[in-house]
Amino acid sequence: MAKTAEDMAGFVTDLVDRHGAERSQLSFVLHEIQEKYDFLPEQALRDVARLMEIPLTDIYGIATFYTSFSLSPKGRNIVTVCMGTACHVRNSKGILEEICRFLGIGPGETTEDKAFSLETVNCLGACAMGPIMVVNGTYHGGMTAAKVPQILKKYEAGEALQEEEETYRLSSPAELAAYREKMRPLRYPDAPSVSVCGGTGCKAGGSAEVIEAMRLELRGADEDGKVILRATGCHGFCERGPLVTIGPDNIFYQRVSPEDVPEIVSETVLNGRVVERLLFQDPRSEEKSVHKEEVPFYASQMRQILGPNGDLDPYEIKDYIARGGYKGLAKALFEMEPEQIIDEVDKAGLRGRGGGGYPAANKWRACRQARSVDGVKYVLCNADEGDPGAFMDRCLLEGNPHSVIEGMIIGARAIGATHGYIYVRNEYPLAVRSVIQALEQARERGLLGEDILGSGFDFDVSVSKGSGAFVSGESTALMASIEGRVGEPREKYIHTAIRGLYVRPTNLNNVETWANVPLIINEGAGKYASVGTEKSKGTKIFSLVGKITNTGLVEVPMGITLREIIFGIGGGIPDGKKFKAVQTGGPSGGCLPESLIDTPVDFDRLTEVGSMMGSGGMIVMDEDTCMVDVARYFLEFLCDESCGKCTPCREGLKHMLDIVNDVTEGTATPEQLDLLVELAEVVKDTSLCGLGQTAPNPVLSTIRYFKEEYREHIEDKRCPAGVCRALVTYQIDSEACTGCTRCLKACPSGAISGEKKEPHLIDAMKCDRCGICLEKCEFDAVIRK
Amino acid sequence: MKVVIDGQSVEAEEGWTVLDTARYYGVDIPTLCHKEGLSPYSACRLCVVEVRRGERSKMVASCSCPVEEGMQVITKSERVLKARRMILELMLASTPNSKTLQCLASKHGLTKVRFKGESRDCILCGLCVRMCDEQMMGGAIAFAHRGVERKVSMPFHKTPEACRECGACLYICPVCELPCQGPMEPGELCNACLDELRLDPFPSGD
Repeated sequence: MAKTAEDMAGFVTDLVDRHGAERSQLSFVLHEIQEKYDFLPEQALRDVARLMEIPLTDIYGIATFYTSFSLSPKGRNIVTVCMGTACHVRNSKGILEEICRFLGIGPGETTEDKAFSLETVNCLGACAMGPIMVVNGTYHGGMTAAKVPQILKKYEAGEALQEEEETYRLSSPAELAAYREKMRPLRYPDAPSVSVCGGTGCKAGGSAEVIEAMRLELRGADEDGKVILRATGCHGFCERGPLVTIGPDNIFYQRVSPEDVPEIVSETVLNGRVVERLLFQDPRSEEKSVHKEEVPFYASQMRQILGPNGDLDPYEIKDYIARGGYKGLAKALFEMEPEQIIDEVDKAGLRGRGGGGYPAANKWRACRQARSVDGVKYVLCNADEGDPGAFMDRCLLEGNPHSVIEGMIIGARAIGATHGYIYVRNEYPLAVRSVIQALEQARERGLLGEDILGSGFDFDVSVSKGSGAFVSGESTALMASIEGRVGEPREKYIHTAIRGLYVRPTNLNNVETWANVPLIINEGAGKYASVGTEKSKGTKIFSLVGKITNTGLVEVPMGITLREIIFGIGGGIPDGKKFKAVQTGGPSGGCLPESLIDTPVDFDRLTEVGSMMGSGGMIVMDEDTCMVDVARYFLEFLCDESCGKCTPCREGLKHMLDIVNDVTEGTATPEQLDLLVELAEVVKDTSLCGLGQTAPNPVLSTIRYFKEEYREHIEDKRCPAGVCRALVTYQIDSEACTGCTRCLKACPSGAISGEKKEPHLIDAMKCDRCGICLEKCEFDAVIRK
Repeated sequence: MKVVIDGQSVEAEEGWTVLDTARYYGVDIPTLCHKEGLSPYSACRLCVVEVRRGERSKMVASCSCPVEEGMQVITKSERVLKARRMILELMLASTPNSKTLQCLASKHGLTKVRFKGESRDCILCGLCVRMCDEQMMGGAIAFAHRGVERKVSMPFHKTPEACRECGACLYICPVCELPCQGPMEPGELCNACLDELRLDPFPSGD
C-alpha cells in the first residue's frame, strides 16, 4: 500500500514537471491521472494542488463539474450508452433501462463485483449507427434492448473482443515516411488508388478490419507498390459504411467487409472491372451507381468543405498541400494587407457556423481594433461540438485538420493574433490525435510557429481538451475552461473580442467557420458569395440522422429546402412511415412540422419559424416519435448540462421538466401547460448565457406546432405515438399469436404467460411496458395501444 | 455621461454599472447575489432591468451591465416585474423558509408558489464563496458539481487547511437567519407584510 502511494506521488510529480505548473495545464494533468487510475484519487488531487499551487477547492470544483472525471473507482468493463438525440429517437432509453436491469445498477454506478461501470454520454457523434452502446471502447451499433444480455454476458465472461486498435496508419512511420517521400510527386497519379473511410461511423461498422485486409492484400498483389491506399476521414454516407472508393475514376463500393477485399483488389484495382454486388443500389429506382458522383446521396450535394475528406490522408500534410492546401495562407501573407483579408471575408458574407450566425468579419474587425495591454491577442477554434446529433466538426477535424488550421492562421494574420487554441471535446479522441499531429507537421514545414513561410509573421496553436460539459461550448465558459477553471459562463456586456481569454482581445469561431476561410481567400469572395441566399452565403454541413433512409453528413448550398434535403438527399423516411417533424439547432433549436418542410435552410428563415440553424444537427422524426417526449428529452439533456450558476436556468429548467414529465405521465392539468409557457418565456428572457436563453426553444416550438399532441396527453390521457409508457398498454392478439414462446422467454418482468403453441397473455399489472415483446414477436401479434 | 432611468435623465460616471447608477439616485432594484465589496456574479437574476434602444429592448442584469451614454433603463416595466416574480417563485419553491425571500415575495405581490416544493437551505447566490475568497483571502469553499446538483462545498467534505473558521460565510448568507415565522401551507406564502410592502406594479410612465 505504502509503495502504491509513493508510486502515485512520483507519477503526479513527473506529470506536473512534464506539463509545467501553469494553471492552463491543469486539465491535461487531471486527464492523465484519470487515464492512469480510472478515477481521481483524493491523494493525487492533494498533490496536484500542492505542486501547482492551486487551491484544492478549485480542483475539487473542476473534478465534480466535468463528466470525464470521476472521484470513485470504476469497474473493469465500462459500458457507455449514447443518449444523443438520434439515438434517443431510436430508443436508446429502452436500451439503457435494459442494461440497468441486467446489471442491477443505475447510470454512474459500478456493480458490487467491480465488473461493470455504467455511464451515459450526451452524443458520441456516431449518430448514423445509433442507438450506440460502447463497451471498453468497442462500438456496438444498431443496438436493441433484446441484444443487451447476450453482449454483456460475453464481457462478463471476459471473452470479449479486445479494444480495437486504431489502425489509422497503415504501416510503421519510417516505412510510411520513406514510401511517401519517394511517391511525393505521385500522391495523386493516374494509377489506381484506394480510399477507405476511417470515420467513426464506418469504424463502428468495421472499417478498421477492411483497411487492414486491404493493406495485406495490396502488399501481395501490388508488388511495385504503385497503388496508393488511404485511410481517410469521414465520407459522409455513414448509413452504407464501410465505404471504399477506387481512384482515379471514383468507383464507389458500400457496406464492404474484409471478405470482399481480395475481389476488389483483383477485379477493380488491378483490372478496372466493377464488382456489381458492392455498388450502391437506389432502393426506390433500383438503379445501381458505379461512380461516387452518381450516387443520389452525393449527386445533389455541394461538397466544397467536406469533399476533400474522401481524398486525403488526414495524417499526411503532403496530401493537403498536393491538393492546393496552404495556397490561401501564402496569398493572405504576401499579397494582402490584414484589413483586405477582413474585407474579403466581409464581402463573402461568412457567418458563424457554430449556431448564432454572427458575421465573422464584424467579430474579426472588432478584435483587430481592440487594444491589448501587451500586444497579445488570441484566436480560438471551438471544437466542443456538444449538440447531440451533430458531428460535422468532428469529421472535419478527423478528416481534414489542415483546412481548419489554415483558416485559423489566416484569421490570426487578419486580426493580429499571436496565439491560438483549438478546444476539442474529450469525447473525440481521434480528432484530438489528428489535430495534434497536423499542428506538428505544419510546424515542421514552417507553416506554423515563428516566421511563417518567411513572412515574419509569428503564430502558433495549442490544443486544449474539454472534459465533458456542453456549456463549455459557450464562449466565456470555453475561455474559462482553457484557463484551467470551471467552465461556467459569465456576463459578456464587454465582448470577448475586447476582453476574452486571459483578459486579452479574443476571437472565437467554430471548426466549420474556420474551414471556410481558406476557400474564400483562395477563390475570392465573389465566387464564394455566388452560392447561397441573400444573407446566408456558401454551404452548410448537416448531420442528417434519426428516422431517415440515408443517414450521414451532407453539405448543401444555403437556401435549399428542408424537403430537398430530407426527401431528396436523405431518401425519405424508411419502412413506409410518415414524416412528422424535423429538429434543427440541437437543444437550442426547435421542431418543425410537415407544413414548414419547404422552408429554405437559411439562418434568418429558420429563426423566424422558431428553430435555428445551430451547428447543423438535423434529426428527422416519423409518426412513431412523440413530440412531448422529444421536448422532455431535450429538457433532460439541458438540466444535465446546465452549469447551475443562474436561477432561471437551474431552477426553471428543473420545473419545466417536472411539468413535461407530468404531461408524459398523463397527470398534468391544462393550467400547468400555461404555467409551462409562462415559465419558458422568463427562462428565455432572464438566463445568463446562451444555453439558458435558448433552452426553452424545444418546448416552445413543440407547443407551437404540436399543441394537439400535448392536449391529447393531458385531456385524453393518450400518447398517439405510443411512446409515453404511462399511457400505453401492450396486448397479445390471440388470433395472430402462434404460441412460439419467444416473447415469454424475453419478457424481463415475467408478465407473459401461456402454454407452447397456445395464445399467450400479458398481465397488465406485471407489465413494465418495455416493448421487448413487440421487438421479439415475428407474427405481429403484440399490439401497442 | 447621460443615462435615462425610468424616464429620469441622470448623470452617471464611466465604469458604473446600471445598479450603481440606480442606487446612487435612490431607485430601488432588488438583489440577492450582489454585495458591495464583492465582485459582481450575475447569477440570481433578480436585478434584471429592461434596456431599450429605439424599438429594441433587452433584459440585462443591472449588477454587472456597465452604463453607456444615452442608455434607456426601465426598472419596473411589466416584463421586468413578471420576470422578478417568477424568479422569486422559483427560489421559494426550493427554499421556502428564507425570511429574505418571503419578504421579497410580499414586496412583489407574489402570493402563491405553483411549483413542486422542496426544502433546501441554500439559494446558491455564491456570496459566501466570494466573501471567503475575495475578502478573507481564504479560498476554503467553492462550488462543486453542476446543474441541479450544484452546491457550495468543501473539498471531499472535509474542512480544508485554508479555513480559519472566521464565520464570514455565515455572516453574509441571506438564508442562514431566523426562518420566516408566518403560518404556511405547502405552496402558500407568508405574506404577513403584503400590504405594507407591496410595490405599485405599474408605475406611471409605463
